[in-house]
Amino acid sequence: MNITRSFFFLFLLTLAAGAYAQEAPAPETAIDTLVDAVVEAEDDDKVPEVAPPDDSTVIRARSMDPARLRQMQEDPEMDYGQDSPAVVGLWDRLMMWLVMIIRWLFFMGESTDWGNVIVGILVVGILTYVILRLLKIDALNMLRSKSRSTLHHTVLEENIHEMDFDKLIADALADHAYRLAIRLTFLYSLKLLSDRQHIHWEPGKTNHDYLRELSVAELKTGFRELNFYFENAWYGNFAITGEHYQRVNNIFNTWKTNLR
Amino acid sequence: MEEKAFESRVDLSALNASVTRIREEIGKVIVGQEAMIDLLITAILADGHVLIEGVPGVAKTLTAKLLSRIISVKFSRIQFTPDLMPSDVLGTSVFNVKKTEFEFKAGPIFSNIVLIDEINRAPAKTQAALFEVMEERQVTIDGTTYPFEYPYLVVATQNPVEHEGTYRLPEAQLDRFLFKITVGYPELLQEVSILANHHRRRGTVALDEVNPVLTVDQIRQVREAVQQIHIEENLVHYIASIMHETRNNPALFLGASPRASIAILNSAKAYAAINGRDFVTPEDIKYIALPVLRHRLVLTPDKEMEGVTTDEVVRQIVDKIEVPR
Repeated sequence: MNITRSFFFLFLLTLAAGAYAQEAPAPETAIDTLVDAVVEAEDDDKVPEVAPPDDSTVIRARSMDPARLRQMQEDPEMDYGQDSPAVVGLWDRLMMWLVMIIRWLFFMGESTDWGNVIVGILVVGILTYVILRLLKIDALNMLRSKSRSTLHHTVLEENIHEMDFDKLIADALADHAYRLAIRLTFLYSLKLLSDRQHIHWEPGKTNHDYLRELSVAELKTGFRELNFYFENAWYGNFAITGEHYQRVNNIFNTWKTNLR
Repeated sequence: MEEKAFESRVDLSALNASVTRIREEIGKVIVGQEAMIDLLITAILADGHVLIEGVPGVAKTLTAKLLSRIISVKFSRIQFTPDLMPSDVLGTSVFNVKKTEFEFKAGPIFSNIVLIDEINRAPAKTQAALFEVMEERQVTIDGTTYPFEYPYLVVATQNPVEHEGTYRLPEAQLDRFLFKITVGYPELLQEVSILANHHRRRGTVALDEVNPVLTVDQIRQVREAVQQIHIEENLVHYIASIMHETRNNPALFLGASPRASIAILNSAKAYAAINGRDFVTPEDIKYIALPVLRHRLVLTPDKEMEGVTTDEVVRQIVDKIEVPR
């Protein structure tokens, strides 16, 4: 009981001390004194006068030309409030249509399973195409059958299988073109070898390729001699006489007898 | 066959004698590889640089050193490494305190025959330093041009690109090599000869057995003779047709340059000369086309993925073009 009374007495004592603290004025400081002085001075309109700087600048007031002002006011380009008219051209319409299609596709892709598949295929396809284009890969060519060894020869200017050598050589001899006559004789020998399947004729092969192909010794020796004269006459550009041709013709005729 | 019917219009006797001696001298050390030796001689006569490619241990560097041995000129060797700088190769300006001025200290590139060992181990920055060197036979440093002495030949070796720690050479540099010669493994009997030779020498250095064959004046003389070799107009068209085909072939991303055309022309002349002829035949052109073109052409990515090589494409192209007759 005594304890309860003591707490109650302490509570009343605390309340009384708080009430006293609210009512008691705060002690006046130096700053408060200064602020009070300024407020009093303002109330009395006693603001100290400050002398302006010594300035002799002549100030001229500028005014805008009224005609120019009017012109600018009437200029539609100066009217920022006006909306530009919407011009929808063919290109814009096409782009809008494309955007609409893409939006529709993506909407379908999100909302349905089959749409999802189509969008996926399209994205993969576009990405693959872009990568192949960047790498410059001919994808279609890769899918085709790989026939590396297949050669496509350029169009022949002369086809030895269609040439009438007897006539051509006779014409060359009549013109004393012995160099040409030696060439034609050599081509004739190639034709004969090809016809009898001693060589496989291909325009890209050199004379030495044909020499290596020949397996019959008698044919090889004669053909080597003919090749020697042909190379010197045709590639070596040596002066060729009728005597040279006659020698070649003799070799050719002897060689031809070995052909079967 | 009548040999005297067409006597050579160009005096090739000195050239042929030199070629025979070179073959003999190199043959003392290198077993087989006749085609490679012929191409090296052709390159010397055609005044072109050579790139020798092969797996380690197939005598690439030895061949290059032999080449320098048979020509009595100055020789230097540069081992290309990943940290090699252009100034390490070309030279650099150094401040001379006594003279109080900068003076140029020439690099190892200043020689007559320069062996660049494992050229593909240096990065593009150092490779680019060789562009002017190889094409113009000179180098410009700090605004001053230093021409090289005659003759000037770069012989480079490289391991195949797929090996670790190598860089792919720039196309501009590859185009400056006249030939790329590939060296493969020897045949069984050749390998036996290599071992027998090694055993016979009993530890002596193989290079000591090789004697110099050509002097500077002789090189000048044989090169002048090569320039006199005749080539028919239709064969010039044949070369141009091959070049044109490389630029339009669907298997190729990059075709051959006009520099390659000139390279084929010059080397075909040199090859004809070392075979004792004073005129070029289609055989010479066909033979030369492969080492001239194989390193200059770039395949399309799909052909690379298919495993096609430039050698195959070059062979297809030269087989496709009609031989002029």
